[in-house]
Amino acid sequence: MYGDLALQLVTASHRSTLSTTPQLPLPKYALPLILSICLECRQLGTSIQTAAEAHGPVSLSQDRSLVCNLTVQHLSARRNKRCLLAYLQTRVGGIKERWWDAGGGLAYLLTAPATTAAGNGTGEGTASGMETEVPDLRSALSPQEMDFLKGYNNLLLDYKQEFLDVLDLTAGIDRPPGELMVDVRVVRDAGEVVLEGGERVDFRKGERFRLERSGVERLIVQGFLEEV
Amino acid sequence: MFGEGGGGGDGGDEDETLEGDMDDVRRLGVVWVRERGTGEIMSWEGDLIDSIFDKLDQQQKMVDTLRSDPDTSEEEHFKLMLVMTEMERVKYLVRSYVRTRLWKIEKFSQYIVITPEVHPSLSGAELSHARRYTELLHTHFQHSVLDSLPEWLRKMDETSSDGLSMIPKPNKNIPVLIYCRRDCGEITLPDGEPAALGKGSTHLLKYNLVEQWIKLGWAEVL
Repeated sequence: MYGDLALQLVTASHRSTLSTTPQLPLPKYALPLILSICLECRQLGTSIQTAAEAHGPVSLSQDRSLVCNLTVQHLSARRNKRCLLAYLQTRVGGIKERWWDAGGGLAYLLTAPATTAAGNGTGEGTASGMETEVPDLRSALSPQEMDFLKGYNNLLLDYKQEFLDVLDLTAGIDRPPGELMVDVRVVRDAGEVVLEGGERVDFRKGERFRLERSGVERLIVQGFLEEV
Repeated sequence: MFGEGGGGGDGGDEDETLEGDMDDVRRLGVVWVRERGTGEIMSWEGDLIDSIFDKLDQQQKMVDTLRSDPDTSEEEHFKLMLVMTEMERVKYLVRSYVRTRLWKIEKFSQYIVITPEVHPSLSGAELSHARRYTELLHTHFQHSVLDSLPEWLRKMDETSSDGLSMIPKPNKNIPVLIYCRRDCGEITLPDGEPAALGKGSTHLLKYNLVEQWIKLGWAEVL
């Protein structure tokens, strides 16, 4: 049946968005399915064209079965297109969400193991164990989506530029800030970091610090530090 | 469709204050809630944000001076910490405000680009963001699938046979919860029934019915 493949695509895409806490890793781009749907659309297109040409304009207004046939094919093709775009749009939403979750750190987003990118704060041991099962974000994206992500990153970098001397737009907005200082433990080596006010801190795994939240927010978001 | 709750009809002097008379932080709070509570993009409060940024900047300088001054007492240090916490909270509001707007702008980017009437509500940067985002998204769609479809299926602005457009628009029918700071007169509900929007009352109404009062600041979104 026309449209079966497209239905398969949207159902899968819908299922992948059902769970947001914990956020599931983005599923791999369904390239084979998409290619077959595009093929189906092209076949429908050719079929409509040949049918219309073969019968000519006169019969189009009289032959009801032909009109019906053409309408069904036409609608199927339109529906396929809609499903394809819906699929892409859902993924675009997911990609953007992950970009914001990562505090706008593109390099971090692409290199981090998928489990950390997915936002569940599991320890290092389980993270590396899971790594083999779930694809990281880079391999889940199509080349076009990769371009989109990079483009989006550039757009937002430009946009937040005008705010940057006062505040970092990409810092988290889940909770309003309560305390000025935060106790953190270093989960991953971050090396030497220059904080606001020129203070230099050498973050080594296992060490604890008490620092201003606004200065280390980004490192917490990116999983280098953990709140105690 | 609407629920009326008594907000205390007496309404002291405080209720009279319209947005213009509030201090910046209070106003930011109202503006932020309004942006989050409505589906449409509200006007960009550029002056307010500029003024807040100026104040944050001054405050930061003052804090820096006082902190590095060895004469500052213990108690003053504690006060400074309160000031700094407050600054962080204001920054949070600005951040959330700007990002709520960005979210809306990206959602309705194509509509914004083709509708000149909404352009005045956006800042220059926001408008250019909407344009560039639309372009980026369309390029992505084009390269991913549209290019491999038959030519008559490649458009991005079709309206399907059931009247549904491919361009998402803000839905003005969604309900908003409002509190009337002033007497907003009487409106007619869709079923023909009149409803009085008295001062100090709260209502849950469709956005398009009270749009003008919200934009004037006579009704506050909750």
